[in-house]
Amino acid sequence: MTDPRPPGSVRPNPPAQPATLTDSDFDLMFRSMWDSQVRIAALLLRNTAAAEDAVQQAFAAVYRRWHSMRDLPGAQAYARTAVINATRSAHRRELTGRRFLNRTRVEPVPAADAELLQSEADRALLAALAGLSNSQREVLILRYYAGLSEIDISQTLNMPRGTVKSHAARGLAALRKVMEANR
Amino acid sequence: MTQEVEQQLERVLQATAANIQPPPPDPDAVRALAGRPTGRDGSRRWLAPVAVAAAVLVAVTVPILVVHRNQAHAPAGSGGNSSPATTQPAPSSSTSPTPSETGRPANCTAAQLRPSVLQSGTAQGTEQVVIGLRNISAASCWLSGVPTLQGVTAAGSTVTLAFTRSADPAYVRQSPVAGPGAVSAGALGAFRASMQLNFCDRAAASYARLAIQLADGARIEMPYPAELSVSGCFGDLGQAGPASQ
Repeated sequence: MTDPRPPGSVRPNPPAQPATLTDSDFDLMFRSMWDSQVRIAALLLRNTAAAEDAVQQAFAAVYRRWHSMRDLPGAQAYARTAVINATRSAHRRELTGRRFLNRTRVEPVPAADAELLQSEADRALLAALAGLSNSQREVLILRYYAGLSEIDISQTLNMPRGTVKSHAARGLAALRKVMEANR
Repeated sequence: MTQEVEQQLERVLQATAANIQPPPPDPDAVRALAGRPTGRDGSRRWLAPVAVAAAVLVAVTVPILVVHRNQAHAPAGSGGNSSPATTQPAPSSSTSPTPSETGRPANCTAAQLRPSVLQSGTAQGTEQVVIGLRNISAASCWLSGVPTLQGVTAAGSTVTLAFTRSADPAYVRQSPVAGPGAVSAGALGAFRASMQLNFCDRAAASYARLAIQLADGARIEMPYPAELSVSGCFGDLGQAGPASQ
């Protein structure tokens, strides 16, 4: 049987079967992302315990699909989105609980030295951040705490890049007003 | 000024986050939460021993049961070591009694049941909701089957909610729903429904009332529970039955 390929051509390697991620990969990713994701969730929820729960729930959801995932960067992006979704769920549950179950909100207890560590202006800024819309707050925290680029924020929050820009601009404008008022 | 705001925001967020000290990460806890066994790479290594154990169990118990049954039905004096009487008809007394033979009450009617949200909570990225159906009549009634749920708008139009009607025993037999059965006068029946929270990009629709159509056609309405409005992604719907209290 003759080889139909032209002379001198290189036999292509068979397409490599992409390897699925292992449990060791999961451990590695989870350990490397845990602290930063809990902190992001805590900044969004203003409640560290709820943040830990949300991040655990999110990574549990990631783990359920783990063995069908192919690459670590994609899995990390998926996990970031899962954490944001879990914090939104936690936030919704809190609102639902307050509205319908007539529960009192459990406020996070600040550290004893929190007052000393924060200036009046910083406290006002954080309060103003808490008063922004969820989307604006998410964009600003991912941009200025997590250091994500606009395109990464766009993928994480599943929103167009233009929307990310407008949320950032409006959020910053609202914070600027608060800072000016505190001068 | 914008740059100043950005710098201050970055500094304040970093300082605030630095004060948050998460506990050490525990991947095993996450796996447990995910409902999978803790494992090494290729985490289905547990499958082989479980399959072997199940096969051994079947291989041991089936012959014992067959021999026991044949001995029980063998004529007096025939001895215990007779050949398996596979041609002997099974005695009629061994068949399970049907519900009617056990005095099963009539199916619950809409007028007998008062619906309410019995429990709600979050588990593994879902909002789990148990709708209670209290038997407010003076008689027991039978509750079974997976109901159909419909959202009724303020204008009165009806939309069947896209729950997955689950027959998975691991879902439908979760506490407090004990499966089909009689609900005594004053007691609670229930069914379980879930809403997907994670990875849901559909907004929740707004309904005024929830219509519950039981398996035999009885239709009950209640105010639309807020717990079913937490997302636009409907999850599983289990069968109705008496609830443990």
